[in-house]
Amino acid sequence: MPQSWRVGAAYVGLYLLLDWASYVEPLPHTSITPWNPNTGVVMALLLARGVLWAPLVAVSIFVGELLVDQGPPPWPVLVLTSTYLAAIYASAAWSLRRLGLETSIRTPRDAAWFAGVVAVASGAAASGYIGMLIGAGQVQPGNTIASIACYWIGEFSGIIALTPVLLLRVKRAALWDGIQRSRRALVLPALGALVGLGFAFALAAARDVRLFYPLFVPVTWIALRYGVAGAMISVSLVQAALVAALELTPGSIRLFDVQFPLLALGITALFLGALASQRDMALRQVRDQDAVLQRSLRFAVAGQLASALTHELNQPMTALLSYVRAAEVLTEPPASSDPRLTDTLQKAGKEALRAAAVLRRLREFYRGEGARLEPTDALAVCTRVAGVLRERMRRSAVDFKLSGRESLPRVMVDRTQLEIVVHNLLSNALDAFDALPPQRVQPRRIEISAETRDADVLIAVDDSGPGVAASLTERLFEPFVTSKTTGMGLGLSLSRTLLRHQGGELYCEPSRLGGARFVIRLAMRPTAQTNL
Amino acid sequence: MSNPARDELPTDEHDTVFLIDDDPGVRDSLTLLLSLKGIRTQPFATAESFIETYRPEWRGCVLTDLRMPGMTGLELQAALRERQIEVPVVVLTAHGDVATARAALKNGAFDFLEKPIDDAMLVDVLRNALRVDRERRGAAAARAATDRRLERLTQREREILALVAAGHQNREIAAQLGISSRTVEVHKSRIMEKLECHSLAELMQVNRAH
Repeated sequence: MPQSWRVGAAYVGLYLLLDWASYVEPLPHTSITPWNPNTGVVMALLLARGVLWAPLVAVSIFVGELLVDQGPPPWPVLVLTSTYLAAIYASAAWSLRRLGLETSIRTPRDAAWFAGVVAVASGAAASGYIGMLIGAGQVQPGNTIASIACYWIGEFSGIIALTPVLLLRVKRAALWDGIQRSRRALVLPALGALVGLGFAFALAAARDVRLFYPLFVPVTWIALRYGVAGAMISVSLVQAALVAALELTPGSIRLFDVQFPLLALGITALFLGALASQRDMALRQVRDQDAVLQRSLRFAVAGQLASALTHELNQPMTALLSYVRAAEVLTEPPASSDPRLTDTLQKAGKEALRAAAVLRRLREFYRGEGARLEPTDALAVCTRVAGVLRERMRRSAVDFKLSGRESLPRVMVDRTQLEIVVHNLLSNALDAFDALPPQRVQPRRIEISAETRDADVLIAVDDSGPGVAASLTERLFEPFVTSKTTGMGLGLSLSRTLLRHQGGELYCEPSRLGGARFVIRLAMRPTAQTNL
Repeated sequence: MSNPARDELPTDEHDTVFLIDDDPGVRDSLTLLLSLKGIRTQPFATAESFIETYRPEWRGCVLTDLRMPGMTGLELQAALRERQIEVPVVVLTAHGDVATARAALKNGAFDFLEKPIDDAMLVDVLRNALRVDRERRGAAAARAATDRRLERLTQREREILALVAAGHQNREIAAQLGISSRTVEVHKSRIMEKLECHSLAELMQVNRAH
């Protein structure tokens, strides 16, 4: 069976099921009910699959009314109203798809567009539908406004709760994994759902609409915690629970009375959920960026390590090879008559050369491509890196300031490498603060400032930490020299190497804030690359 | 400028490779290997000690490491240039990359080699450097000899040489200096004698070389 048939069958099945289940408290001879989750299915289909499915929607509405309504209107009226409703929702879906909302709602802006378009569409659907029924003599004109309002809110409420849920793209394996991993974390939302259910039945039993308001608490919490998905699932559940509770409790209050609070709950949850989703997305982005930076830093450190290793090992390797070659000369006949000695020494020489080649390849691999110099806004780079570390600064109670002229000229630099250097300097400053005993309360400040000098741009990172010991100042930029208890002592060495490769410089001096001041000097124009 | 020792071409045995490397193992092994290959080698632990002990009559080439505590290879090149010591410098580094090589060669390095290096190539490069140094000294010695000969000329003879070199006839020179053609002729033959030239063409060559 082709996929579109499966989608169509699933849609019709779900639509008719919900239409039947939500057929409560109808106005006589109509499908005007105070809660229409089936319209949520309609919108989900049209949004996900496109407006070409509108004819199926019209047919399903027609069949639904014929099967579910008690005393449906004559079929010519039904044809007219079904076509009209399908057309209205198709155009709403078309507009939302144009806005790019066919998959999910991620931001408050998305939520606003979604709610706005759905409000207008369901309003148009309600007034048109009621108008036609009045024209056909199905509804008494006296109830026009009340009928429109009832139908409108029912449709609006149904769409806003159910459509986002149906549009969720769930990867079954990932979901199952998540549930397995965080079983304990799921206890709270489950508890929230139970509380909601309890309040729904309590409301029905006590016949008191005021009991609706406690329902906002679990829903709000779930929305903030789990985003749009959690929010709309919980709202759909609350709607279903409330309808069930009111239906199952004989002589309880009418669904009409809670129709408006239900809509308010839906809209509130939608916006809160969108806000939470947006925040989660931003946080994830920041974390990803930091991870990328850390990775490239590690890679660069490995390169520095390989380079230092090559240099250190190449010296003994040179001596070794030269001794072997000298021994070869010394054992030439007639000094020695054993040909195996000559052979052995030749082999030893070959192995020394092989080891040297391995070292060279290692270094070349980690050196990677050269720097890609491009005109770069150095302050923007600093701002981005500081953004990545903002969370750490907050945890370390550091007061961060970034100052500099807006119109700082661009510098020729490899952006990623500059990011690595700035990240390294800021991390060092933070490490210095973290190493202090917590009782030493002092203003913890880090400042980045930028200025131009001649053809150079100077970017300084100042901190009010303990500063650099005089004995260390000279050797600070050498590999494996560090003042930290944990650390390789490669960061500064690497940073300086990276900058010098680009004609820049990195140096350290005492800061006016009392700690260390590291200055990055960058050329506005590219200069010859040098390594020493 | 007159050093008799420089006049004749130095022989192979006097050429020395001045090996500068802070690593004792590298120094010892390379000195041994090069000596066995018939190249006299004088090791130095620092560039400073080489500069301090350097004597102008030393001949040969420098084989130096780049990264050393104290004066680096590139700084050594600069110091040699500053003292107008024109010895060929072969750079041997354990940290070869394009940028360093470019800097060393731009500073006038004779060649740039990466550690560890096999003896065949090293010996080849060093022999070349020694040959270049020999040729350079030979050319310098010839120039010095010419200089000395030119110094023997009197003021008047120098004037006449300049005019001859400019392509003037005897008669024109005589008129210009207010002397007789015959006197010009006498001066000219004395110039030829002092400069050890046998023809006018040779005379022109000596003058141009100067």
